Amino acid sequence: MLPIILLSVFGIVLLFMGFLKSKVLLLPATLVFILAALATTFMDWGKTYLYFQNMLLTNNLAILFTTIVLLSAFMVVALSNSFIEDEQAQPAEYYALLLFSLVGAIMMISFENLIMLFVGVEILSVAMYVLAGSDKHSPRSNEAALKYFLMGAFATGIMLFGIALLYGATGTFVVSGIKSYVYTNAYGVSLLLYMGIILLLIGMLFKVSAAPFHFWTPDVYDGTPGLFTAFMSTVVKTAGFAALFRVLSVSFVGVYSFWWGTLAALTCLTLLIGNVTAVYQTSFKRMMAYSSISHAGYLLIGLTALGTQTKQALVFYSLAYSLATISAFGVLLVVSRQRQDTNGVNENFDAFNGLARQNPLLGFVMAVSMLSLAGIPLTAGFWGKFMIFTTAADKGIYWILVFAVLMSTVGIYYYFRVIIAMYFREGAAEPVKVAPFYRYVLIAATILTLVLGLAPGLLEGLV
Amino acid sequence: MLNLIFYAFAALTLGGSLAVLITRNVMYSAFFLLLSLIGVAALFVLASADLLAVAQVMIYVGGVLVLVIFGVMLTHKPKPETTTGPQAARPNYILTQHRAWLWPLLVAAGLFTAFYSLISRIHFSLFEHRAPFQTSVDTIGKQLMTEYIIPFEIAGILLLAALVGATYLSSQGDRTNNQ
Amino acid sequence: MNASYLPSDYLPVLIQLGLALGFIITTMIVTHSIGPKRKSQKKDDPFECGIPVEGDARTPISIKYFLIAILFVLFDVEVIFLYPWAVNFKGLGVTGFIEMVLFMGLLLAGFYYIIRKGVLKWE
Repeated sequence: MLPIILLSVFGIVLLFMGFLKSKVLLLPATLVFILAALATTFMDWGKTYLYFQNMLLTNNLAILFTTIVLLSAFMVVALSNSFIEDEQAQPAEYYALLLFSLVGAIMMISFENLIMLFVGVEILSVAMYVLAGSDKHSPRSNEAALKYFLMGAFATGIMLFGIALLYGATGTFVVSGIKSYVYTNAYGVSLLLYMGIILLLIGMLFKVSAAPFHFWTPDVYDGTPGLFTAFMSTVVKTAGFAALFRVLSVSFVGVYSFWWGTLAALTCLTLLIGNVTAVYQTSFKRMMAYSSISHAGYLLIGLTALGTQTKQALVFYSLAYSLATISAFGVLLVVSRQRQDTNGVNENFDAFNGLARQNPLLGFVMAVSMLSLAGIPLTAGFWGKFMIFTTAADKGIYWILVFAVLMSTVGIYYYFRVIIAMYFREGAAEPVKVAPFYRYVLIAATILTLVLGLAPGLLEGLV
Repeated sequence: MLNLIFYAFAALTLGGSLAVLITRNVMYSAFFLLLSLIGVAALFVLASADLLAVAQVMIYVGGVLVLVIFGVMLTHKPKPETTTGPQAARPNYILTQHRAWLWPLLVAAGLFTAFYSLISRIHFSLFEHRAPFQTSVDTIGKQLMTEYIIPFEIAGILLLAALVGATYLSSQGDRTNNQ
Repeated sequence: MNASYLPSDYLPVLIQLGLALGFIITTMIVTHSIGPKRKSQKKDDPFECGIPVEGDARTPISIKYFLIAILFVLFDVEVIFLYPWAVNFKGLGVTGFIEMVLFMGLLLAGFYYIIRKGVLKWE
């Protein structure tokens, strides 16, 4: 598991690079470090390895999820050039914490022992609590950090309790050991196991912000500095779903009849709350928070209808969602910073008024990412939704399918509000200035979204 | 004898926790939490988890509780006109505001029923034969250094991240947070 | 080393506890009951080198103390890990030593970081 070790070492290196006089080196160094970790991830391609006395397991699925996480992190870091000019910012600390949180994310993706899952969740969460409050002068950011910390610590405690009960029931922390326990005791599974599953699920669903454990999401996403919101809504969500998938598909597949009903109900609740509440938002960032809840709902459909197609669908959907989210936040960052209103940065929908006329490129990037999130054909998001819905159809859960399609039509409404604002409203006269490198990242994300939308077969057969 | 000790410490834990909930003064809550945590440490000893008991006393009683009390001391006192009566003049007299009873009670009752029915229906295989007290430090030390070496080292990374985060959030905080 | 204990082995601890508690409680009760009590404005005033008392002793403290407390807890957690390792020091051999050095290295890196950051500097 070279990436974990590398990222830990790189994080410490970055921390001490912060003591250098010039901050110019930090951003390229971080990008190189993430690329190095990404390259070493692929060393295990095509093979299944157990590492460190059954602590971690790498297979193609884990490698693909790791790739999505590292790619998202790469793009988020690439969009962070504003830190260099900001006097107050301490980029070395931010980057070090980001790399540490990536260590946690990779552990959540490829754990084989539940202890590794717990430590991974902890590292990821601790880093995110700090980054949520990284804008120390803004009361909103402080509020976000405090809310996230209190709720997150509580959820982690519940999850740990669940893991302890699972150990009590099965006598092992190893994921495949729990699986064999479930199969050998198919008719007399200990009650502790059921309680453990429920508590573990509550903790994990909190981390991916599924309803009814979503209450923290809008305030935290809203108050956190935009860049870290993008990180939070892509990396944390992808890692959380990878962990949920591993634990549900390996350990608890034998008691599928126990958990699928609960999960299906939570899925519908998540879709309903996420989509309907997003309609009423005036702030774009808050709308993205509710949209991230609704996307957690779509991903949950894949888990509810656990089958052979699920992993492919989850990988594709996470990738499509991450690309679109990062480019949306990328545009939001430059626009909100340069079109300020009386309250400081303007993160409302009206900040985008007339953007397409002044900055055709930014308008196009935003439009593609909104179309992808809404699931319109020719974008990656469409195929992501298509694959997710296919898993539900394969399993024969049609009512959830109908409900999800209904909810995604609601989604089209609020995503199109942005497009309408950009193309059909009059806005500020002067165009928004974008740094060249920033532009390349946005273009790359958009091109990837379109390529995956035109040729969804590119990822087929990899897992 | 052993049962008596167990019930005494369980009563200490429960009484302490109950007092944390009932008292309105945050400072008193912190001190009642001390009782509760010590009770838990004693229960760990009775469950022959001695290292855990030491850790509980060192980290929670010795460390986390100090943090809690520091937190109370850092908190600004409400201005005298907001509270009335002679007690308002007392130092560190910070009252909790939240007084809703119904929902917490319902949730707690639900959880209690769930866990009680769970525990009463579970068959614990080790319940019958009582093992003599045996120190767990040896086993934990060996396991930590061999089988669980990676979680152990990664815990170092976690502590480092927490350290960096704490330093970042509270450095220069006295200039910015005191508004 | 004797690895198993009977509950009766903890009896000395209990006796010690009883003695300590008993001594404190007895002294407190006895001093309160046999000492004379005279109360006046001057007597109840806290004595501070002859200077009149000003304000409240428990004003909000600097956040620096809080940071020190957090750092204390973090290193406290680290020390806890040292104990089970030290008990098995011989059995674990060089490998165990290297593993612990690695762990300590991570924490010492953090320690060096906070020193360079000037957190422990007091003005």
